[in-house]
Amino acid sequence: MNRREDRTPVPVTGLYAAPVLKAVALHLLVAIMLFVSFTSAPEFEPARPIVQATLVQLDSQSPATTPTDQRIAGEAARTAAPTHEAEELERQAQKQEEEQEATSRAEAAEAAAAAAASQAEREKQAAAARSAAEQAAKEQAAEELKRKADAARKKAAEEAQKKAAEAEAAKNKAADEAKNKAAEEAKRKAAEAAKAKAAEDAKRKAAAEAQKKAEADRVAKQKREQEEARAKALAELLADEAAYQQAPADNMGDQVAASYDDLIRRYVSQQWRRPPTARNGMVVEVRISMLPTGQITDVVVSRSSGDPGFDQSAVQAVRNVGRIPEMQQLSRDDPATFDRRYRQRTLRFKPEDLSF
Amino acid sequence: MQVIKFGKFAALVVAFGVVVGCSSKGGDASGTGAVDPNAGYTSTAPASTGNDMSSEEAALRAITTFYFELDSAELKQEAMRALDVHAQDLKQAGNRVVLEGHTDERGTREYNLALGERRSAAVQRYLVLQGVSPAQLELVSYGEEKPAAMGSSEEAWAQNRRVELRK
Amino acid sequence: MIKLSKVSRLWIAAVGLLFVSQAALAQDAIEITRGSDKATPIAVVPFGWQGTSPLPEDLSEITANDLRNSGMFSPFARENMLSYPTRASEIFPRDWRVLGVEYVVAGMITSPSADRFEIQYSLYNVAREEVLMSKTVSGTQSQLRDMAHHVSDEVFEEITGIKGAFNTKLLYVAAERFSVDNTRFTLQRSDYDGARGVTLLQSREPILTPSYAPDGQRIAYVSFESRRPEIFIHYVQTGRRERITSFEGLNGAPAWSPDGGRLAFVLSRDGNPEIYVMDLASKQMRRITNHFAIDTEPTWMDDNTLVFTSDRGGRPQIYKQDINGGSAERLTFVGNYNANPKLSADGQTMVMVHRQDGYRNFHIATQDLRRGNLRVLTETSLDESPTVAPNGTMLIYATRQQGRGVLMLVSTNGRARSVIPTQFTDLRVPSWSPYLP
Repeated sequence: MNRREDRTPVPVTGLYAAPVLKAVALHLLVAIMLFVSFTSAPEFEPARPIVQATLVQLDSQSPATTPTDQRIAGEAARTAAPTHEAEELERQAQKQEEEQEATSRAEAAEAAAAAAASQAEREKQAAAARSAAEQAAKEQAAEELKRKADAARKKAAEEAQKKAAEAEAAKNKAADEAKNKAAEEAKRKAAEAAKAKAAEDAKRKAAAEAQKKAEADRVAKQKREQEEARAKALAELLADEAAYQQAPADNMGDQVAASYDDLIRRYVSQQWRRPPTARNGMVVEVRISMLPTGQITDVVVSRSSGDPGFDQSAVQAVRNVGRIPEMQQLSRDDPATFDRRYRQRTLRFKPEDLSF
Repeated sequence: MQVIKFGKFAALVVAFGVVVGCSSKGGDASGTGAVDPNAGYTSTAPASTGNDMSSEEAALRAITTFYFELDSAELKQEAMRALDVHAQDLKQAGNRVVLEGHTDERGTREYNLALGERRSAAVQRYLVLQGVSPAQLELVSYGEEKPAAMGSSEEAWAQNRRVELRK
Repeated sequence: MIKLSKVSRLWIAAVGLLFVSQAALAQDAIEITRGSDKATPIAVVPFGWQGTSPLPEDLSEITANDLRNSGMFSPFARENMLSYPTRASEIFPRDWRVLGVEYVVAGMITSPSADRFEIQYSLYNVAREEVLMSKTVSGTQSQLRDMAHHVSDEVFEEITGIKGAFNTKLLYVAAERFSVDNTRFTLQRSDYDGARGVTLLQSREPILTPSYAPDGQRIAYVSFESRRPEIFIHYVQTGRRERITSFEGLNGAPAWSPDGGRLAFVLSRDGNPEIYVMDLASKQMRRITNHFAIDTEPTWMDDNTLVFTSDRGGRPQIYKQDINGGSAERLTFVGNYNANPKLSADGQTMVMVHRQDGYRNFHIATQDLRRGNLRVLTETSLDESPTVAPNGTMLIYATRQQGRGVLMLVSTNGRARSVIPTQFTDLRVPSWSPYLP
């Protein structure tokens, strides 16, 4: 309570002492290595300078990591609070994946579109789940979810088949990931909504409630519609990006990492509300610290724009993101990558979409 | 008919051109007898100098408001004819008058104050050229602050772009 | 910074040089180039009040309006709220998450003694389920609105990092026209939102272009009370007045220097309107411009630079000039009429009256002085007299509606627009106060 986050940037000396030491140590190490013959081939992660191209793509989710993704989905199923409708959904999602793999190699764009569709369905499901819970009918909601998930699956499969001939490159990670995420989120939201409703039911009398709820649902629906639109836009973007992804990746881990970069970028962009003083080209950098759970524990301005309102907008965006749940998968599956790239990370806010 | 009418008009123009020839602001002789919302052609008879013109003079003397085009501080011909009469009166009586400059509501208020002053200064300059002493003429601009007509129509605006001669 | 696991170290040993690029890569910043265009959804829950008689002001409504006016927030309609917490401990985040609300302001008003009121309020972040701030503000009954604006300021700054400008004042002139020759002009001072207006001066002759000194204690204006324009300085607290200029011809457009010690204004005593600067302590006056065209509407860019309107190029455009000499530099090139410049506090953004083309489409536009981009902010026409809030997030201007002058507030991001409500029907020349103590 009463907590005010400390906004003061850490002292410069404190900030740079450690990296400088490390940089020196690193150079020494490199110099030594140049004169040492080494026989052990890179066992863990072959180096690929080209991944930089992947990294700078906006929302460039890698399409080529289906296996990893399935693992993510599996993890999610194990860790998330098991509610039966959620498991149902999970099963649907997995089944869908299997089917798709059997039939398919859908093109990235196609699959992404399908993902958007299923996400749209997911939103509807969440809405349905909410109203169902209102009448304390959880099974009903689950059935509804299942039915709709089925519909989504069919639709996705049909579309995938239609385009099956096209594009080898597409065992499409992006789609699956989006789908899994959708499933996970739907699950989470459904559970949350159900819980919320239960709490509300307990807390409130029914009479005045009906009206309020209707309004709330309307508002929530509006928001969902916006989210759907956003998801769709994202899917389109991914489709556009697919061309860049044709080049076979020689390392899975960094591809995944690139997609996690995109994830962060997406989360933060959604929360970033620029003050009227913001201008295209202004730059503020913030340093974020993250736990393996995806919880962002700290954010400090590491390079100020000189405009306090602009700096604060960046800090606030990160704070409002709060947690990036998907990070949990990465830290479990590939802790080295998580430690290396996400325990601490700099975000550079540099608007390009303002009217000024 | 047309020719005669035109000839009359041309004579008029030439006559006035001579009268105001030396005025820096009076170079609008090529104007086509500008239309005023109020003054207009209320006094249409040609002013043949020297003739019996007391009624003519009285009519012109009654005109104490002089209108301007948008963004302009140039005197119109009617205004000059009326001002000729006022100039004679002022020279004879030696009294002091105020020239109030006004604008329509368009544009910024302070800029319009300056524009109103430009208009009253144009009238002042004309009168001084007719021999009136500058000491008799006080200028004040109200800009758009004292409109004669309310509203945001072309008609209202035309009535508000003016200089008023007040005794 | 980057933690190197044992594994990574081994790997360094294996591919030394290549690792360097990899390490650099890992440190690459994630670049965020896009943001949300939505205003932040916030709920200002009706403040609790346990007094016997209803309060004269709806304080949470005032706060919600303030936040809306900034264009950076969209307050959630109170009738659609699911719960009405009055303290942080009563806030259930789910009640708000489901509504898409990101922040909740909850407060409780108490009256510990006669004519003493206290608001205890909290700001809550829904996503993080965290109380960002819990504070108390108190005052007398006549200060209830100030207290509400204070809450707005605190909330606004906590979230945006920008100092709130809701506890500020507005000057304007109201005209009541009884007949062609009988108009009453009233210089009013109110809250920035138009509430609690008080009369500072009344006259049968025009009052023009009032402007607040940086100290918030003095105002300068033009009054025609002696049937000709004169510049006055008026002390707000005492009502004392001082006549500053009364030269022949124009005396207009007073503008305070940033240090409050000098006044720039326009005189036409030398034949046509020129800009002068007077040192108020010594009353020494210096002419700044020298051009046969109209030079007017000066405003200070910094201690030594004036920005003003001039038609030296044939049409009114905006120029800047060093008061210690040098030539005028033209700043506006878009449109056939640019006038009445005002600058944001940081001097980077200019607000002005702008006409793109035609004869009546006067709008308020902002121009970024570093990049030059121009943006038209208003949708009305015949707009004039822009005045900017001290934090630059809002501006108020005068325009015409049904032949009468009204004051409009617009956020500088263009999102929020509203008419300033007052008891008068014909208003003009608004001037926003600085931050007040």
